[in-house]
Amino acid sequence: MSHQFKSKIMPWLFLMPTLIVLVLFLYYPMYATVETSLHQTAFMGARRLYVGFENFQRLLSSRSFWHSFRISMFFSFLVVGLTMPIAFLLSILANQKIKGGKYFRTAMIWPYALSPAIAGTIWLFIFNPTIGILNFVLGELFGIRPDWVSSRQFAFIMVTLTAVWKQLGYNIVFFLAGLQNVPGQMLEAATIDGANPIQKYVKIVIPIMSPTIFFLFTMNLIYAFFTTFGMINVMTQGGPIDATNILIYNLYRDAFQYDNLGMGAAQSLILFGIVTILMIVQFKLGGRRVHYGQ
Amino acid sequence: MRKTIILMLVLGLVFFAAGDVTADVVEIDYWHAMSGMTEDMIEEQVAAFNELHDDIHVNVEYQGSYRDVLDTTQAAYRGGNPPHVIQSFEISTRQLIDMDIFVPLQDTLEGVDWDVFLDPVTNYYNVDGKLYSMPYNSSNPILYINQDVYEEAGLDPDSPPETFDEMIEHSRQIIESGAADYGWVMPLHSWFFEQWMANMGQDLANHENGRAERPDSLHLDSQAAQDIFEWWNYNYQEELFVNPGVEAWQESRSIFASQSAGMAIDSTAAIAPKLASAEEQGFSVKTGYLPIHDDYERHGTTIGGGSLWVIDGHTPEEQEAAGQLVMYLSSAEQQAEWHKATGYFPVHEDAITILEDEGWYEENPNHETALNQMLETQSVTSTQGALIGPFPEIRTQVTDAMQYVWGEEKTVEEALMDAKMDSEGILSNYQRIIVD
Amino acid sequence: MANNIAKVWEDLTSNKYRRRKALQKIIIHVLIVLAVLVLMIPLLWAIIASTQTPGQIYQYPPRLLPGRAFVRNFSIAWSRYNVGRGMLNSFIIAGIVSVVKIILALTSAMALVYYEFPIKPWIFFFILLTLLMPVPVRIVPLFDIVNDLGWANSYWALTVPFFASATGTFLFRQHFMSIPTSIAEAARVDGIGPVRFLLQILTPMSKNTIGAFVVITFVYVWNQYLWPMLIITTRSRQVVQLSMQQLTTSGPEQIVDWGVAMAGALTALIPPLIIFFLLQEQFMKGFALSDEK
Repeated sequence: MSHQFKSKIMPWLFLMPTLIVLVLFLYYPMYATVETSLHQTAFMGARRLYVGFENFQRLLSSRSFWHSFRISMFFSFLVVGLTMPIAFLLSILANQKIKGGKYFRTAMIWPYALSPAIAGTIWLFIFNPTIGILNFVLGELFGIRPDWVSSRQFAFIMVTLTAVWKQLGYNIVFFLAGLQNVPGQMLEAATIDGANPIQKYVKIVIPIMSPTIFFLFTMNLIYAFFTTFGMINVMTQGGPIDATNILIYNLYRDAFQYDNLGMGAAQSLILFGIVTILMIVQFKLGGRRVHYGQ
Repeated sequence: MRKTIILMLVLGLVFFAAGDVTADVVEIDYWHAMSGMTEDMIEEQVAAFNELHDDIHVNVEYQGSYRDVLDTTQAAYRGGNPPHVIQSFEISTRQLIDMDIFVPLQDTLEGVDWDVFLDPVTNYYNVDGKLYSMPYNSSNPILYINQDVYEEAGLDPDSPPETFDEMIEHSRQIIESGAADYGWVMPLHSWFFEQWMANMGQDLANHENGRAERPDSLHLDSQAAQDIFEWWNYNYQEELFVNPGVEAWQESRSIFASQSAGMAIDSTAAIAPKLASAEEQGFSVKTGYLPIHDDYERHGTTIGGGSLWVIDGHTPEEQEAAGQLVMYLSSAEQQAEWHKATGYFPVHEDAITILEDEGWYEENPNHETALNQMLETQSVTSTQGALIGPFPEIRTQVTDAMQYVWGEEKTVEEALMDAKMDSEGILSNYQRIIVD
Repeated sequence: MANNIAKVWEDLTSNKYRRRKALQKIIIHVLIVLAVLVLMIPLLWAIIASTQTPGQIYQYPPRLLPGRAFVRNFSIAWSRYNVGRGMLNSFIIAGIVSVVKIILALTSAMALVYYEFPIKPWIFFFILLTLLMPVPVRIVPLFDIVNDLGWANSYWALTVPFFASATGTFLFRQHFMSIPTSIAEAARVDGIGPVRFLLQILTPMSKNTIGAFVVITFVYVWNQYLWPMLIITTRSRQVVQLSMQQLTTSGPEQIVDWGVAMAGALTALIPPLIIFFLLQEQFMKGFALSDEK
């Protein structure tokens, strides 16, 4: 007897709600994006004017769009490149068998629950150029008081550091889960064989954890590309002069603040292209067993 | 577990269904952009209005900045549940008329004497011979000085700077004497640039500031624009001026309140909170006219602030109630109270009489500064104010240009020229979809 | 404590091997404490600031001690900045989405694992492909569609479009596939129908996956920002995250009241934190990413 049930209708009944939601709110919007991207709109779409591929032409020939593209890439590169190694080292520390380890772990993973907007609020206070604690400390120790608000470079650094800090907890959670799956004997065997700790991690632990690493890589990219929107909205609104204007912020601005949904839709499609390429690359590289949160 | 789920679902349904209110009373929504003490004042006004009208209930809601009110109103209209009355900033006038969803008040509202509003106000809001919205909160920029810092610096608080050169001199003296870290503070906001242009007699937009016909270019390459940018940049580079951030009103006020800067340029609407926070920190404040460039004649300021718009498409009863509300808020008595609590000057002639009879200005000379500055304004196209459809987007061009100069990435001339070119693109795009 | 120190000291002064071990321990401890500090200091600083009056916050040099304005700051944040109502809204939508999403994930995974039908691989692929369509990528048409449905400014807009996701289906499908087929066979021999099988056998066996999924979904929905910002237009229906921007840009005296801002931020952090810690164990087990599975 097979473990499967037999029915022609039941599986479809079970699938129906999911499929309806996916078609109505995911597939259909993707189609509608293409349609809207061929229009210029005003008043939140109340007026539409067919313009063909003009939105794409304007984007691809616009300095500010390419600036936004570069900022976005650089930002994502930094967020992923800083978060993952730091989080990995912290997880190794947190995974040591020491007294109070449980409390230390808790103190390290709590930012998982933190939203980008809240992280932005807290750090905006810390980074405040005149009354912030950070500039007080920097001023006392090194005699410098960077202008985190109006300097493009410092504002970018501020947002990047906040984004990395917020994402550490998320990464540590999954790294810890991954580390717990590394058989203890393997590590012990390595120690006895005289392998030094660094070799031990490079040769044994990282390969075992590669699914986790690929998973986190993708999640961090999506985070840097999209989820940081709330943080940027609270901290810099994309400024000063576009210094933190990542692609999703640029999309929001063109579509909803400057009131051209068509321009927003065109940028959606470009973002879709980027996400697709990144996903394909990551699947090709072997993260096949991996799954993603939204 | 199952109980929790059911409970959650029931709770959810209750909230989905919520929102229907009892009949007989006409409910209307009023959205505004005033925070802090001014928000409190609006809530008081609306409460008084509700008290007077048994059959009307106004739900008042703070929606964030003016830009937020504009964006949210458009989204709500698109979603089929717009509010009834919104307060929107002066520069949105052209755009709101183009949207074609608001009631032209001068044509439709009965029982209003439109001549009672002050001339500069009517001049600003008059488009194609009529007012579409109800004047409500009008302001202009003035200079605030910290009297204690002034005295410490050996300056006379009774003669505040009137020109750009004097601003620099006073700032130097404040900093060198150690009375404060910076000379002056002001949000990086295009509004001040627009005010300087108007005051120095330079139209911002072509076609008579957009009043004769829709503009297709901006005078960002004019001598006046360059002089303003040069001076502002000089103050920034010499650290006489501290930049609190783009449109960062609150941060700017925080800096003045913490006495890091001896002077501030800010809206007259900030007068009440400024005086309150100064009192808390133990210093006194004096006010003066907006200083302008030494080489130019003073033409006066243009109207800032906002007006009240009534959205079309609601039931006649709701529309009627909305009309009642805007008439109430712009009445002489309410305008007088509004002025006292906020610093926005009264837009209604009789309100000024009420205030003078009460002796208000003798007791509160700081409140008079902005009013006089407005009354002395010459009636020319520059002070009438520019009428530009995509004005919010243009503002970003101006502040971006200033920041490029500060960051030494562009010269003043380059930055303004680039902003002019980009603005022309923005204007023509807007034109295309609105006019066709 | 004193004993411990004595022991470490003894180790340090004794033979080479023990000395190295002890040193290692000390270094690890120091590093951990440093790491924890980096992650915790901003939070602690926010907690301190949330008890200070504006006068204390604008004081120079900064005051490191708590003030007494805790109640004032929380009550201002709660009522004036919509944090109270926003918390309720966020809680309701996060709760509804979590529950419905689990049901839909369970049923769709059930269909994919315990049934055979034509085009099944295609359906699975069809579901999986939606991974490429995060909300921001389809934000413009989503805005259009939800408006056209008349759902703007309602809980419908914040919940229904999030009822299904590839993640959920995938997660439960993987889990079901790891359950020995003998269990399903036994159930069929006993004549248990598919619905009963799902409710009484599969669901209890999926506790960890459900726990993990609740955490992901709740935190995800609670922390959403862009979508509610666009589609919710009245404050009384807005979620708590959107209070953050107002907290940092306006204050009662039109100067930023950071004490109130910190109080609001901390309040909005508590619910997802509670969910996370309550379900932490299931989360860790249910979200195992190992090869062995």
